[in-house]
Amino acid sequence: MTQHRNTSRWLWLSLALLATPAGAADFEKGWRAYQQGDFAAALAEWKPLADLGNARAQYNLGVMYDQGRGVSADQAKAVDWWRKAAEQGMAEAQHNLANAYIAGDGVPQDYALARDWLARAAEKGLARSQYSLGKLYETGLGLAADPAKAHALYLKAAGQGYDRAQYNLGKMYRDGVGAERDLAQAILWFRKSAEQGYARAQAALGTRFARGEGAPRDDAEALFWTSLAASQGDSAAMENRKVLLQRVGAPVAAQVEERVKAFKAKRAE
Amino acid sequence: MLSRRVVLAGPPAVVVSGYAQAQATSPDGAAQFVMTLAQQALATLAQPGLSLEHREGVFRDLLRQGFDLDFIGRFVAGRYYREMTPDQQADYQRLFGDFVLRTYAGRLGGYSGEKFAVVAARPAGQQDVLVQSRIERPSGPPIGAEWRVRSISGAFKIIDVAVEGVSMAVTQRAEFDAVLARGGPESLLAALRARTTKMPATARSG
Repeated sequence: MTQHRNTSRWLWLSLALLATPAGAADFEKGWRAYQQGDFAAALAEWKPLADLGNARAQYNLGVMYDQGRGVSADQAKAVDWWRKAAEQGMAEAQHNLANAYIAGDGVPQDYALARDWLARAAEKGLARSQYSLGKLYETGLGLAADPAKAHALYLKAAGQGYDRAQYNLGKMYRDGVGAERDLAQAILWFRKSAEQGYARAQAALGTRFARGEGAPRDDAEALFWTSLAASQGDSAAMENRKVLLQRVGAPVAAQVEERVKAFKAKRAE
Repeated sequence: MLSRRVVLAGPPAVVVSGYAQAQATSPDGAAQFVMTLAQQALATLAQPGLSLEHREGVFRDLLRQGFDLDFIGRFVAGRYYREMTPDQQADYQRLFGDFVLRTYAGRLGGYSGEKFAVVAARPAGQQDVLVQSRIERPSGPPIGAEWRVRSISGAFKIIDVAVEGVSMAVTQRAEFDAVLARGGPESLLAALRARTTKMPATARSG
């Protein structure tokens, strides 16, 4: 009986080992090291995988070269690795490669190529690429400006929780660009972004309440959001805060300050 | 004022909130400020259980308090700042701040096995103190950085950082000047956006 049990156990172990791809085990080890900030160990796991054509490893290597983690920062090398992964269809790599083209980091600046790569990543549903492509349409870089397309792309990214897209969508509703002016929608999207801690949205939301645009005027609410933006160094908000402090008076100011201290940004991503 | 070697390792004796009325030319005060800011920020990087991406976001948020990004941003954009619309100025300030913190926060280290230490502080000019720091790393030679600290409205603020002798503010000003001269504010904003909205490393496949 003992013989039979040992053989079964041995068989089970062998099967278990065969079923675990060595590649996945190495990548995961690298990932754990990376999360700990042990970039040399992450590199040791990922470089061989990248050389073998593993897109995820190639992409992460690109990030390490871009940021100078475990290696000297080298934008050109970052781009090389991202391109390899991008050509295999990896959306994050396509996104980062596109942004390298926009900034002219490691490659000559090329808004048209950026547009092409962003379109592919946006199609795959990557929120940041939907946002970045929307920005190109909004500002007319690398393609003809098209506010309606920008709006549609921001809406997709905002719906996925991307704070910058939510803020920019709020601005379009505020200003009636790319869609009908809708101050209630502006407030809705500014608020979602503001709750995530995005300073520009906090400032914009504060201004809506200060002016009674899209909601009844509420100086205390205005002071709350404006103070949050000001505490992040937003200079317009710092100025507006001074005006609002005069308006609300000391007791309300003290209450708002307590709310500001208690505020915790919700991070969607 | 004479130069002094100020070595700070381990927790400071005085809590940072006591530095509201900082002297403009106090090397010890400035050194203490940098050490405390670094320790508080680095503690956020060491938090277990959160992703590196999340920890780095909190790290940057903390550092943000210690820099006068408005001051640095205006210096770096030079005369082009006045030519921007208010919306462009506000966007620029936000994006510039993100960019500076992402690029230069790494000078504090905080990653596996790295140790940050303040090694010296000396006055510079009428208003500033240069605080010298060093990151000891297991994997290579130490990295030196110099933090220019000024008392602004009664609080210490970092207004520049030099790595291996190269000033961040001067470098960025030269780079931004070229971009602004060539393509105006929108091209600079596009470049800063591109640099600060890249995706981080991932474990997701496909």
